Amino acid sequence: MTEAEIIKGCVNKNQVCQRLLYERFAAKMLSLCQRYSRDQQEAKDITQEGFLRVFDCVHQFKFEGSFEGWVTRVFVSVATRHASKRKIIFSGVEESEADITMVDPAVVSKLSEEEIHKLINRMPEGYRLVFNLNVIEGYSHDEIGRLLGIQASTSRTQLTKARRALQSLILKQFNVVLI
Amino acid sequence: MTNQEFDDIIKNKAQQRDAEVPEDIWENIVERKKKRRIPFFWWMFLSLLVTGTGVVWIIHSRAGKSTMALTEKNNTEIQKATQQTAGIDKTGNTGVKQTEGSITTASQKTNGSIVAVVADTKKEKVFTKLQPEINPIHTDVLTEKLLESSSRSKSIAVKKAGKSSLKNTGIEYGNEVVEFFSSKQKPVKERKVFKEKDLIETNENMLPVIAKNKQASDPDVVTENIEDNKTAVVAQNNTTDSSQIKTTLLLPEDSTKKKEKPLIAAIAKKKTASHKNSGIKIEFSVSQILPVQQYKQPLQTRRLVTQRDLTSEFVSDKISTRIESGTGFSVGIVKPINRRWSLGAGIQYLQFTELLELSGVETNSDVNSIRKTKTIIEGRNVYYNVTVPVFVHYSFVKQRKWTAALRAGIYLDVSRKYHNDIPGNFENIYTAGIQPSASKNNIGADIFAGFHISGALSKRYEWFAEPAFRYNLSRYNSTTLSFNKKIHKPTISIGLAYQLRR
Repeated sequence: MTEAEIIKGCVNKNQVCQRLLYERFAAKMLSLCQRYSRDQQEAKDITQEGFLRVFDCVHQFKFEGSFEGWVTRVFVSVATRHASKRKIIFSGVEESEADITMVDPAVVSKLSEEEIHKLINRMPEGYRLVFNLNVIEGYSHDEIGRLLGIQASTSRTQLTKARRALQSLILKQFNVVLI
Repeated sequence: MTNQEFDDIIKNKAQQRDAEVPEDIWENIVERKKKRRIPFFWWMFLSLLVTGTGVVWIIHSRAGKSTMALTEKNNTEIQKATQQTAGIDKTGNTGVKQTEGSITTASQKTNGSIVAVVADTKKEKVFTKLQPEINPIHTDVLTEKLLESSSRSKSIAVKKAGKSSLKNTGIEYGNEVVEFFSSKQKPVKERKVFKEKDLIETNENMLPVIAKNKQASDPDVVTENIEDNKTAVVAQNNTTDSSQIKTTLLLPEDSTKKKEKPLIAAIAKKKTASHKNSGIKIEFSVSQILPVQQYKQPLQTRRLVTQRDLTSEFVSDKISTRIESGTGFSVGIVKPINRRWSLGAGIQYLQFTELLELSGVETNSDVNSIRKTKTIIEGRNVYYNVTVPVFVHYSFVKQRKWTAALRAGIYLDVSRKYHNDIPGNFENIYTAGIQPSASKNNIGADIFAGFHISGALSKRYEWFAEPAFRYNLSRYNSTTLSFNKKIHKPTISIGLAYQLRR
């Protein structure tokens, strides 16, 4: 069944098509939700809510652009709304000298997808949110500001600090590995 | 390494990651979808309930106004009659009196029977007494001042005593003395002696409820009346419906003759709740149906989908369907036409779903290849019916607390909607040929019969349960995936009935 047929079926509330859509996007979207959540249970909750939202709003998809991109935006919206319910502190953390050290591209490339995912999740929540939204999903700082209810400048600052924090974590990861 | 390069590497790695999906996520999604559907039904039920309550309230308030208007009208008529009879009284021929707080009317039926009516305007009671020994006719005036309003509808408390206890009153009429009293106030002895059966009660409109008309037309009574009474008079009620009473005043014919026998022409009739509340009922109910389908399966069902160079054809080799239970919400009105029979009508919204499973072979062909795969298509048909039930209701057991009845009639589907959530257009291949998917049938009908058991909850409210069977007369052929079937509906309904005031 083609993607268009699945979408049409979902518009008609066809359970088979909904299942097909779920199977097509579940792994990717669960991964996305895990990046925005604190634990596995919360990730599952966000995933369920995201799919329900997709099923409810699929008629709004106008076949302009990628359907996966549209689904991703729905999930990001759900995930950030979940995150916004928590009190997130967008402040700096104490930075060590090692955090400023630039990481070699070859080193980063050696990291597996799973390792990158774990390192991202080890960042403080404020950093992680901004980093995910800007670097991975491609949202601008203005959009992030609107989504999270913060200033665009705060988002920029958070991103800079997040990037450094992640580099620091990568270095630490490799130190552990090398030892 | 620049930030952009770093970001790109991280982005690619993060986006490529696929998480391991636990199996329970889909189950939870399905469960949450079901839970989200439930409020729809509740909203439907609540909206019907609110609408129904509103309708009852409006009808009730209008009925109240009508009753008040009718009471005023009747009071005016009674007063007019009193003035007329009072005029006759001056001649000394009528024997009809008026006392404080009461209105006396007298009338005569065309057959000659005489009924004198005394209305207590304070207590909304009317009693009748005819005393033909005295000439001119004397009508006793009875004011039921002591009865509590709560006890009015039940009965008049009657205490019978020996004749000797009334020596001081000087009343000697019949063999018994009757006292009217209440539990709170001191009993008052009436001035005249009469029997309980000689009383007529009235309804709230202050008009007499004469259930035993036959007494007025009793040959003996009529004969005696004609012989003995000189006055005119008389009101006659030919029905038990007091609102239809007409009062006629006739001139006296002959007041010189003396009668020889005592005459008792009036009757007593206790007012009961059933008389007061025997009007229209409004019923609200929820029905659960367990549909049974009757149809002939097609040889095959086929779907053809064409997209640019790709053609996909599905041909089924096995079709299985199962209809799930459905729910209906109804509002109806039942009007009694006599003690046993009633007529009713209403409106019902009914929804039920059907699960479909089509197994077959799907052939995908493009310019370069043809590929066949075994495919199972699962889907769901949803039926939405807006139906008008029209029925007759026969009560074969009428107890004080409960009633058993038979109901039968027809459900007219004024709107039948059908929704099929499987993409693509199907056509069914029968032995007689191919049935296209464009046919529609938006109306239909079921005949039904069932039992209706009801019980009193309070003075106006009743619960009821109604197991019934609806036999589908017209087929569902809105699209081919309903397979032109009849769907019969065993139903169990429960609900509340509200009895409107007459």
